[in-house]
Amino acid sequence: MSSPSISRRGALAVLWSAAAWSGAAAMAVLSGCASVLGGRGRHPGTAVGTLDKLPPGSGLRASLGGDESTIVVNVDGSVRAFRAVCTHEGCPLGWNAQQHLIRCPCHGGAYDTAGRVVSGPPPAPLTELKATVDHGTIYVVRE
Amino acid sequence: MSSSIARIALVLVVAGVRLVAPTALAAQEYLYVGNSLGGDISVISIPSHKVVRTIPESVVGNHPDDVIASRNGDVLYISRLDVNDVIAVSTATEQMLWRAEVPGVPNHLTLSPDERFLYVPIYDKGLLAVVDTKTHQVVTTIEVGKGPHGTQLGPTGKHLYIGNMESNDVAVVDVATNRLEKRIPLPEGVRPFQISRDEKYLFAQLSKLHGFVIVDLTRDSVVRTITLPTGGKTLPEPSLGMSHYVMNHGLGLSPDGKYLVANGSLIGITAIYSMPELELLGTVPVGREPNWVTFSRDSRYAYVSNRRDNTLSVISLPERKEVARLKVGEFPQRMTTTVIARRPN
Repeated sequence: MSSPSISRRGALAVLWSAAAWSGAAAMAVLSGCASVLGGRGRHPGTAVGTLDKLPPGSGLRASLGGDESTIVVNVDGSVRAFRAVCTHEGCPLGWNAQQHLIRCPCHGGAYDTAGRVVSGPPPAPLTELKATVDHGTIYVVRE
Repeated sequence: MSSSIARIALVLVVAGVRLVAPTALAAQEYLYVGNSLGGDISVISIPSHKVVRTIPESVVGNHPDDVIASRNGDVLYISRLDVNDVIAVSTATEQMLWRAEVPGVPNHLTLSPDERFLYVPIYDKGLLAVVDTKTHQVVTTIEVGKGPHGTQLGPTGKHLYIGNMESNDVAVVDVATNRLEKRIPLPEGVRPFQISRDEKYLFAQLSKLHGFVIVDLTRDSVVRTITLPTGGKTLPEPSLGMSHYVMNHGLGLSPDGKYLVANGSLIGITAIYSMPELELLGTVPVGREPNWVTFSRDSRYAYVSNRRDNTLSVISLPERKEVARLKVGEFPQRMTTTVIARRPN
């Protein structure tokens, strides 16, 4: 005779659990959308700037959230993005506008706008990230 | 009549000069923090520990690596990674005085005892460049090993020690002759190091050691290894995102000789040891990836630059605790303290 009451408790538990899971799933979807929408339409990646601020020959450094950042360059109208982490010791990289080079503030490594090592101790080229431009906004996808 | 006019003119000229000249102040101590990614220098008053000014990127720029000061506090010497040079900046005007090109990527600087020469390790060429601070020219270069990174003048003023990151040794140069005397092999790449006051011991952080070694300079060999505490934290697995080739960066001996302070860079701690016993006195949580250690002249405070969160930790050595954490520029690394009489408004 106790089974109906157990069933009711069981059913309630299932309902509560389902509600909790639905809520969590909804939050996850919303949070996922926020991170990939970039604040404008459906785009993969993070909005890092606008093309009007990145004329041909220029570059910029932008955060991808957390410790991740990217160097974005405009080479003759083609936008490329690289993981802003030096392949020597993992230091964050900067953009030198005068030299048109990606530079390391730890031991002076230098990379060109194709991510190739130009000078210094880095043992390997930079990791390229996917960059897209839509309505003038630049999006970069984290690895 | 003409002498009166001359006097008035003199008064006007002097008044004019006073209007544009830097403010004269009682001598005060400042901390200069090089922000390597931001390209600027944060100026912090001691002991109030306020960021009072920033020497801008337009003056420095090009990823400054090291910043040291002349003994009278008049001049800052700054090595710049992007453009292979060293610049001299006036602390009174915060403007560049001169620049000297060097033959490669310059790292951590040291002045000669008479301040006539600046010793500049050239990381990518395996050289030590000697720059004349009067002519602003490189007067000689010395082959010292692979990846020369840090430099320290021994307390006797006769020997310059150069830590080589890639050939895993410490080169010793006779500063009177600018000749290489010897190279002391160490187990790994040499990171920040210090020399004891009697010049008998060298304390060195190594690339992959969570601690530091003590080298007996009379025998040129490691006699003791100190493992840094973890402060209850787990050492993270090596990853490219965490400068995996350097476990610790930042080692200092306090001016009063009582303390050795060592950063645990991967776990965000600074450890304080007594000298000469090397007993652990305390472990202080600091910011992310502490990179350098320097001190106030009275040895009351140790300063630690936390390069991953752009902050500076102010540690009270007697209390063995962090008493302030200041926001500075982007990717703060090397820094120096000095007493100066004048700085701009």
